[in-house]
Amino acid sequence: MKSIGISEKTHKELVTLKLEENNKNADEIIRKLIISYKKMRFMEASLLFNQKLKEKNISFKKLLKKSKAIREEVADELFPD
Amino acid sequence: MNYSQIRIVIDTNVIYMSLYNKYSKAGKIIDFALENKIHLYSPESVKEEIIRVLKRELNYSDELIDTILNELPITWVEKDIYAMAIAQTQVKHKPDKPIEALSLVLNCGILSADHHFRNRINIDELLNELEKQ
Repeated sequence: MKSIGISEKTHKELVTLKLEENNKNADEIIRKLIISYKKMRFMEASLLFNQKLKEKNISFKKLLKKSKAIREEVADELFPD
Repeated sequence: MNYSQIRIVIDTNVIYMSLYNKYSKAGKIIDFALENKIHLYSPESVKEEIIRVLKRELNYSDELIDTILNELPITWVEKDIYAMAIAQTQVKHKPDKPIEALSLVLNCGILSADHHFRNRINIDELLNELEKQ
């Protein structure tokens, strides 16, 4: 186990969450928060990906087609005959 | 089967699908990996493919590409690890060989939209099992 320093306010909020959500301990709450944060960041990456497709006016199907060609190019470079 | 004990090799098309639609089956797979319920791996050839596609086709900056790759809960495996297994692969299409080779090295199944992989995992069955846990 490791210790971290947090403010009184954050500590109070963690304790409240622990009671409200019936979590075992602060470690469990923090792990859940980390997962939620990572999911949120992945959501942002997904939004950006769709925004880029729109900006470039390229369909998802077309992107997959172009990716196949690039896949062959990469394979030829990494594993030349 | 306890999927948290097993490893899965993920193909590019599933990664793109998860980015395209966060709520798709592929997106759910990423969520389960973020929850550490499954462990996703992919060869560096797939990483390189993604980098080039994002850069050339979607004008991503190097910084944004790094960000995207860091958000993906995937362990990228270097060529040296799976190169020896390329000769044992059965898939005919050369660009697919790194995927199969890595699955042979890790002794695990493949998540791909391409049906020609012998040890391809059925995504519906996988999700059903994971949702039960």
